[in-house]
Amino acid sequence: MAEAVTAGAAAGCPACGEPIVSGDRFCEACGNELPFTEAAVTPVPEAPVAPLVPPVACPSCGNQGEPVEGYCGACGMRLPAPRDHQEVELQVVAGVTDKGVRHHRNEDAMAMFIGDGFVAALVCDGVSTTVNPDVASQAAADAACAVLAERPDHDAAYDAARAAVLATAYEPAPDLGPPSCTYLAAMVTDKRITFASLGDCRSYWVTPGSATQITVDDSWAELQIASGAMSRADAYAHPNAHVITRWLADDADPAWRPTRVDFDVPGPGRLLLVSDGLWNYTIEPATLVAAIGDEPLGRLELARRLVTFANEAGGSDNITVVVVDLPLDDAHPKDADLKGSSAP
Amino acid sequence: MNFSASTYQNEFLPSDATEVHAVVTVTATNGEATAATSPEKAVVLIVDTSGSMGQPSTKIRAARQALAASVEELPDGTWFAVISGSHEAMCVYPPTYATGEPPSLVRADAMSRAEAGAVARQLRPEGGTAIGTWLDMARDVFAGHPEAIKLAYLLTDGRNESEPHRNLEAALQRCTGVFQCDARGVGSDWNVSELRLITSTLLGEVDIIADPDEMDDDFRAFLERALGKAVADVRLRIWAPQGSTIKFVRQVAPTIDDLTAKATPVNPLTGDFPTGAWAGDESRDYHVCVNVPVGKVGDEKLAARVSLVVGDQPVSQALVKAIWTDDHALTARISPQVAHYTGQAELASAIHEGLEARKQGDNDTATVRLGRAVQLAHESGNEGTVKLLQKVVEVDDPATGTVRLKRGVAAVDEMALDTRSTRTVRVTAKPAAPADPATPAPGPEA
Repeated sequence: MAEAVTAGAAAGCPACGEPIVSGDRFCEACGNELPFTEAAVTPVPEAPVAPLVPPVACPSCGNQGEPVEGYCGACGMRLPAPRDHQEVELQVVAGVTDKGVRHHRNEDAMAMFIGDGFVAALVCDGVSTTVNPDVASQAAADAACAVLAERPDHDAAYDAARAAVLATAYEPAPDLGPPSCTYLAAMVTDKRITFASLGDCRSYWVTPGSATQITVDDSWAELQIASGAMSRADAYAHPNAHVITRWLADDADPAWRPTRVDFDVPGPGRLLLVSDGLWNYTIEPATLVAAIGDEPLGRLELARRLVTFANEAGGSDNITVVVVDLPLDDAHPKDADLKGSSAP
Repeated sequence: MNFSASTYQNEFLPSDATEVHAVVTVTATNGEATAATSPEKAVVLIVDTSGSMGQPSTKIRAARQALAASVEELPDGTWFAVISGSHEAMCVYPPTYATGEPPSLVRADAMSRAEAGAVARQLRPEGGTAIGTWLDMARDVFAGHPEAIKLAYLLTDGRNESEPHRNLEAALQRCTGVFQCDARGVGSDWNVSELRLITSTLLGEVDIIADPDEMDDDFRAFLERALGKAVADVRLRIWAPQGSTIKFVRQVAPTIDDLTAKATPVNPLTGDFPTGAWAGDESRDYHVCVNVPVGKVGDEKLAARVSLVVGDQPVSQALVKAIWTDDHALTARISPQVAHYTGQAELASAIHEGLEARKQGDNDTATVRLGRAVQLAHESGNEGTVKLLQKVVEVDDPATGTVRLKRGVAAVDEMALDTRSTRTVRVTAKPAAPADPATPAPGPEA
C-alpha cells in the first residue's frame, strides 16, 4: 500500500513551536493539544504496470521467474499492481478501492483529508472508454483534495480537478475519448456535509437499518425518472440505464459543473461515498441496508464488507467505498472525554 | 543511432477471442554514421552475362554502362566485387582467379575503381543462367568480412534454366544470414516468383527494369541505399507467453514480407526474426498476430513483447496486450493500422491470384480478384498500385471494384504489377466522419 503522508499547514506545535509528527494528538514537548490532525493521506498513483520485485509468484500460474514489464514471464498475466486494491484508514474515515472481477484495472480513485473539525473525501471513477481513465480519476481526486484541505471551496476544488485531468499527458487513441472521470466531493463537518457531484458516484447517509441516497446520479436512468418518461424500475432495467450524462474531461461541455447538495447532519451516523461498482448491486437503498448488515462494524471493516459484497455479486466494475463516521469527534472517545472535561 | 518502437492495436478482446493483432512501427533516427561506430560496408554487384543479355544488345550495353558508372563512383574504402553470372559464376573484379587466390572483396580507391570500370565495359554475353552459382560466389566473396554490412545486387534477364531449381534453393539456404540481396529482372523473360524467392530469403527487394535505359538509375539508387545503411543484422525478438503461438510476423511497410518462417528460437518463449540492415532514418511497420490461450473477462495479459535487437542488445521494445472485456464499446474498436495493413496484405494476394487466374485463362476469377485489388488500392490511397492495375484492367468504378480485363496487355506491365504488388502505403489519417445529429452516440459508462 503506497501512501503519501504530507504535513499540513501547522509545521510545529502552535504553543511551543516544537516540530510535531503528523497524526499526533498532543505535543511531545509541552503536552498542548494539537489541532485534530494535519495529515493528508492519498493513495499514490502507481504506474499501471509497475514491475514487482521477484520472486513474486504469479497468482495465475505460480511462476516465480523474472516478470516481463509487470507481466508474468511465463503465462503473460498482468501481475497485481498496488492500485488493484487499496485501503486507507484514518481516525474517522476509511476507504477501500478495488479492481473488481470483470475489469482489468482499477480506474476508481479516492482521496481524503482530515482537517481541524472537518473531513474532505473524494471518489472519482474513470470512464472506461477513454484514454488513461485511471490516471484521470486519481489526478482529479488528488487535486481536489489538496484544495479542500485548504478551504471549503467546492468550485475551486472542481476547477483544480478539471485542470489536473486536462494536464495529464496522453496518446490519443481511435474511438477513445480523452482522459475522463466522474467526480464526487464531500466536505464533512459535524453539522453539515456539502457535496459536489458530477457523474454517478453516490453518497448515502447510513444509520442502523436505514440508508438514504443524498446526491443524484447524472445518468440516463435518472434523466428518464426525473422527466417522468419512465418508472424507476423501467429506467434501471433499460440497457442505457448506467450511461452517464455528465463527466469531467477535456471534451466535456465546459458548462457542466458539479451539482451542489447541502446536507444537514441529523445526528450520529455514517456517510458513504461509493462508486457504481458497488451501487450497481444496491440500486435500492434497502439492498444496501441488507448488505451493510446488523453487526457493529468499524469503518474499514464496513468498507471491506461492501467491496466483498460487490465482488461476490459479480464485481462487474471497479468498487470504491469511503466511510466517514459522524460526529467526527465521537469516533475518538478519548478525545471526546478530554474535550468534555475541559469544556467551560 | 536510436530505435523506437510503438504498438498500434485494439487490446480489448471479447470473452471468447484468442487472436491478438498489433502493428508495431519501428523507427530509426539519428543515423549519422560516424567513422568510429559505423561498420564497414561491402557491396557485390552480380550482373547476368548469359547469351540472352546480347539479344538485343541494348541490355548488355546498358548493364556495362550502369555497372561501370556505379563502381567508378564508389566512395573510398567501400569493399566491393563484381561477379559475372552465366551458367557459372566468375568474380571478374577483383580478378583473384588470375592468381589462383580465393575470391574476395577489394577496397574502393582510384585504382580499383578504374580497373573495375574497365572490366565492366568488357563483359561479354555468353552461356546460360545458373543463379545458384552466382549466389554461392557472392557468399565466398563476402566470407572475409563477417562484421560488414553486406549487400548484393543481382541483375538478370532470364530464368534460372541452367541448373535444377533445388540448386538455387540450396544456395539460398547457404546464403541466408550471410548477406542481403536485391534482385532486378530486365525485360519480361524472367520469372517473378524466382526472383521473389531470392529477395524474400535474402531480405532484399525485387523489381522490374522494363527498359534497359532505366538500369543506370537503378544501380545508383541501389548503391545509395546500400551506403546509407548504418546498422547490420537488426532482429525483432518476440516473446510470447506459454501456450501461445505466433501466427505470423509480417513486415507490412514499406513492402509486405512474411518473416514467420524465418524465426530462430532464442528460448522456449522467444524467437528472433531477421530484418537485415537499417539506414539511420528508416521506418518500417510489422504486423504481429499471436494466438493466446483464452482469458477470463477482466484478465490482462501480455500477448507479446517485441524487442528490437542489434547485435545481441535489445535497443527498443513495444508491448502487445490482450485485455478481455464484456464492454462492447471497447471490443468493437478497430485499430486503423491493423485494418489498413490487413487490407494491404489482401491487396497483394488479390493481385497475385488475379494474375494467376488470368494466366490460367480463368477470366471470371481474374476479373473478380483484380477488381477487388482496385477497390482495396483505391480505398487505401495506394496510388502507385492503382496506376499499375490500370495498365492491366479497365476500371469502371474503383469504389466498387468494377473492372474489365484489358486485351493485349504488355508482359512487362503484368510483371510490373506482379513485382510491385507487395508495395504498401502507410495509413493515412482520414478526417473523422461528422456525427449524425439525429442519432447522438450514447454517452460513456464510468
